[in-house]
Formats: sequence, C-alpha cells, structure tokens
Amino acid sequence: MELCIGTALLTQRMQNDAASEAALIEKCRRQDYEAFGKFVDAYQSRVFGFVRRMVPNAEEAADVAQEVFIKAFQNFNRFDGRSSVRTWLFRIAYHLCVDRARKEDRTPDRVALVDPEEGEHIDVPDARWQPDQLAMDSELYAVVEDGVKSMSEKLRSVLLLHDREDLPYEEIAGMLNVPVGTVKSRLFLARAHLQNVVKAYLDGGEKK
Amino acid sequence: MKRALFLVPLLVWSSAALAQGGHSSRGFGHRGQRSEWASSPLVPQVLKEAIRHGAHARFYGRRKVHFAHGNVNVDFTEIVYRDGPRTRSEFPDGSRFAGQIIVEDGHVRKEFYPDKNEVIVKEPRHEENLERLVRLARRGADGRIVLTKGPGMKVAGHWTVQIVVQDKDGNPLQRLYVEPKHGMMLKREIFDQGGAKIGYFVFDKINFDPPPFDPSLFRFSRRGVRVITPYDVLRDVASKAGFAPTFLPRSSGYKLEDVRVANRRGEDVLVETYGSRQGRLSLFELKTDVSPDRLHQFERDELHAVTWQAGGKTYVIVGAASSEALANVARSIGYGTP
Amino acid sequence: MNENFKNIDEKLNSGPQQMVAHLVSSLPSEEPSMLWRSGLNEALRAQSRKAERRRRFFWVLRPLSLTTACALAALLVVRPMMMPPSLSTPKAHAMVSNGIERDLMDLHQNDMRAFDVGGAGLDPTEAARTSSVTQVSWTDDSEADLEL
Repeated sequence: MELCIGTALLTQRMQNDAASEAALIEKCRRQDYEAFGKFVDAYQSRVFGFVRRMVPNAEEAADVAQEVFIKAFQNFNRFDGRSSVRTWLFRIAYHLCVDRARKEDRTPDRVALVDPEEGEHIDVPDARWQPDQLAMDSELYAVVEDGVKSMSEKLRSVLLLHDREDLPYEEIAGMLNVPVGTVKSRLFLARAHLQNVVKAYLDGGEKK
Repeated sequence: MKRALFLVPLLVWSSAALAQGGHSSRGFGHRGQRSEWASSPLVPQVLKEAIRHGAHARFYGRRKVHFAHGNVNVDFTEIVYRDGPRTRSEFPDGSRFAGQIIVEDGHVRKEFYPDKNEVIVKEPRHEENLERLVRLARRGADGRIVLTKGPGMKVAGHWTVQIVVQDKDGNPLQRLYVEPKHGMMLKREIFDQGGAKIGYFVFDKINFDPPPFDPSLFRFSRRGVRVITPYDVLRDVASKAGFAPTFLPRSSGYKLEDVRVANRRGEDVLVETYGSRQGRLSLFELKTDVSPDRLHQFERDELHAVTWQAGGKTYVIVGAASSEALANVARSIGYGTP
Repeated sequence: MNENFKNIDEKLNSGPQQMVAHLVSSLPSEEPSMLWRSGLNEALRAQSRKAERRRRFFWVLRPLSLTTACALAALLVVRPMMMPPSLSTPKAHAMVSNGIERDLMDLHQNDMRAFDVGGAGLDPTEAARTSSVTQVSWTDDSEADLEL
C-alpha cells in the first residue's frame, strides 16, 4: 500500500515536473530572458561538461558552451518538440563542437580505433575482463578523462551522448545523421578503447 | 641618416631609463620612505629579503602561469632566465607561444612575435615589478593591508615561507611563497574581490646557481624583423575600431605598455595600459557616456578615476593615485582634458 | 532483428562494457565559473534586447498597428504644441550602458592582477589575445642597428 502511495506521489511529481518544464519551454520559445535563465541553470553543467570534453582547449570550450546557449535562445521558437529539449540542446552543442574543431583544424587524429564502417582492424579487449572492484578515485577519473580525450571525435561524441547524457540510440543517430547500428558500433569501440586504457592503468599501476 | 634619426629618440629614452634605473636601485624610487617599511615590524622579514634580493637575483627556471581573464582561462609555461635586471622568457616547443621571445636588458624590453616577424619595443618591467612589491610592503607598514607570515610548502624542490596579503576586512588579496635563502618568490597566487583565486604562477624547476649567462641571451637581434612600439599598435587598433589614437605623452611619466579593444555591455572600449615608476594606470576611450558620479561610487582604497569628454569620445583614467594626480596626468594630453 | 545488431546489443550489455559505461557516467561534473555565467547573461541580455526591438519593428509594420501608430504620432506632435513649454518631454538621457563604470574599474584591477602574475614575463592579458597589428611602419633596419 505504501508502495502504491509512493508511486502515485512520484507519478504526480513527474507530471508536475513535466508540466512545469512544458511551461518553461513555452516561455523560452517567446524568448523570455528570465525563463531562459532557469533553462540555463538546469542544463549549464551538463552542456559545459560535454563541450569541455569535446573541445580540448579550455578557452575555446568556454566560448563554445556560451555559444550553445546563445544559439538555443535565438532559435528556441524553432524547437518543434519532436525530440526532447535535452536532445535538441545537445544537437546544437554537438554541431558547434564539430564546427569549431573543423574550423580550427584541431580534430584529434591520434586514435588507435577507427569506425567499424571504415572496415579497419580494431583491437577489441578481453570480454571477460572485469576487475573485482574499481576504486573510483581522482587518479582513475583522470585516467578515464585522458582516455576520453584520446579517442576520435566520432567515438567520443557517441560515448558522451549515450553513457553520460543518457540519450537514446535513435536520437543520437538522428543527431549524427548515421544509422542506429553505427551509433552502437561506435559506442562499443569507444568503451573498448576506454577498457584498454583502464586495464593498462590497473596492470601498470600508473597513469598512461 | 635614416638610421641616425631612428636612434635619437631611442637614445633619449634609454638615457632617461638609465637615470631612473640608477635612482631606483638606490632607494626604490622613493627615498625617505624606504626606512619606514624596511624597519616596520608589520612587514615580514622574508618580504624585505625578497625586495632586497629582487634587484640582483640570478637564476634560470621554468614556471607555470594561470590567469582567468574574464571568461578566458590563460595557461602557459614559461622558461625564465634572470640576471639582475636582465631577463629572458621563452616558451616550450608545442606550446601556443613557442618561438615567442621576451628579453629585457635593463634598459629596454623587446617582445618578439615569430608569426608576424615583428618585435614590439617597450619599457622594461623588472624595476616596476620590484616597485609594486615595495608598495605592497609600504601599505603593510601603514596598516592599510595585513601581511602575515606562515609556513610555506615545497616549491620546485625548495622550502618556502608563506606571506598572506589581506585587506583590513581579512579578505585575501595575494599569497606569496618565498624561498628564504635567495629571497626568491617561487609561487604567487592572486585573488579577486570576492576572494576567488583568479591567477597564479608557480615555478616547477629552478636553478639558483646557473653557469655564466652569455650577454647576448638578453638581447634580441634579427635582420629584417619589423620593429614597432606600443604607439604603432595604438594607431592601428584605434583606427580599426573607430577610436581616436589619443595617448598620454611621455612627459607625463607614463609609458604605453599595451593596447586592446575590450567589449563591455555591447560597447567597444579602447583600453590603454601605462606603466611608470609611480604605478600603472589605464586610459579608456569610449563612444558612450560615462557617469562621473557612478564612477566615483566604485572608487575604493587607493583606486581613483577621472573622466572627461572630447571630440565626441569619453575618456576615463583609472589608477592607484589621487584624483588630483590623475587629473594632472589627464591634463598632459592637453586637448579637452579636465 | 538483424543478427549483427543482436550481436552488438549483447556486446554492449557485457560486464566490461557496462563497467566502462558506469565509469563514464560517474565522472565528476565540471561547473562553469561565475564569470562564465555572467558573460553568458550579458550576451543573452543583448540578444533579448535585439529580439525585443525586432518584435517592436514587426508590430509597427502591421497595418492596424500602423494606423494606431500614426494616430499616436499625430497626438504626440499636436499635444506638445498645446502644452506650456515647461511641461514638454525632457530630453532623453544619453546614458546607454548602466554599469559600464564598474566594468572599467574592474578592467583596470584585473589588468593589474594579471601584471602581478606575469611579472617581467608574458603578461596574461596579452596572452589572452593574439597580436592584432596589421598596418605598421616597415623598416629594413635590423634589430642589431637598434642596439644601444
């Protein structure tokens, strides 16, 4: 019974949240400055984190993250609601990051892994590998961050959009304009690359 | 003939710098005031040592620099050679500034930009840096700021003594880490008004006993390089941004160091930074009005501002000097000044 | 379902892949600075003002609005002529940017702090931008000629 009440309350709260988000989006569509400020509050940390990992230069990343919100503010009336507002926002972020990387000609090109559709050999790590426990300390985080940075833009974007931002495969596929299968393959490769990086760290006991 | 004409202003300029430099090394430019801070118990001994050794420090090392400039975080690594007033800075291969060279030979500062094959000739900064440290000590001795000594940390393999600089309300302004034996500041952290750390430098390698430096290390010579001064930069930047190339004449005692256009609240502002033995100041030129009353509201401590209008532009001078002193500096421009 | 897809789904759900996914999702968040946010707010406010001006412009363009605007304009022209001079509308104040004064003081102080950090080396203020000189006087004299 308690569970039922709890579930009902949770459902009610989710409905309220959805209603208030819809109201907020409607205000943002009308370019309401105050409402958009709340929208920024809700997403700035995620967008900033995504851009920061996509654009290696900290100064440029800060600029791009601002540009994401400015573009969103300018174009909110074009948001048609076919995808979630989160997906729409990350689509803007993704395209700005890619544009910036191409403009600056700084697309990382030091990847060991390539796209499966390009048909090259991929070093897939041991599928049975599973350490008993991973101490989530700052050193391990730094290793993972380095691993994320060291992969190609294609793999990194899919990894971050799926594993960090929880976007569904279909929405990522639409955003990147590739088939769902490609998204999954890229995700697999990105994780495999990180697995290699983490394994090397744990085996060697040192960073890199 | 052309060469001789070019040399005249430089000779005059360098003679003036020499004269000022000699004066400064005797009493840090403010004779009669030195003993006040030098004998004050409110100024930690290690800071006095840092000032005393600063004039003739000799080392080479590598330091990391970070500064949050508005939204832009600036990070770079610098390789520094120092022999008294002579300094040279280089940047590691692969860095954004690789190939850039900054030298000071005690009389002149040259900044070489390889991408443009140009060298900007400026006033040296070494003495001015020392002066700023002296002013810090003087403010500590006067009780305008609080200087507290404490245990430091190991920086670049050397134990340091920490000096915390706070305002009278206890807000941190700076934190200095000085290696006591050589009186060398190995780390410096700078805080904003809100107490947030916005910049620092820290040495990660230092050699206090380097082999003799070749004097050519502190000079820069390259055939065919374009030689400009900050006044050339001013003319260029001002004309591009639609400003008048107004500047403080050298007779004011202030030498132009840097010029840029900043954008604040959608308005372009021409920013000119000047250095002198009396301190630094900024001259701003705007195309919009500025309220003198509001400007005065933001004056604090020793920081003052004066503003005037001329030729359809608004000018503002901000610096750590009295309003009257700043107005005098403004008057040196002559045209339309207060 | 395509066999390859099924295969990749299984792979993605394997223990190591899920562990890595967990690692990525638990990476610490990076909060943007207050400075970043205040810069964004400034830019958004400018956009908001621009949008407001645009809205007003299009409102004026509508025929009905145009008629109303004409009537109002006529009223504005006629009424002041009927009012005593002392009651006429005061001239708009020329101040356009509230708070620029504080920005100027902050700019100066920030430059001074950057100078404290930079010392005799590279000034972070200068490092924050690239050299923008394009038109300067050329000289064929070498730097050696300038040595004192």
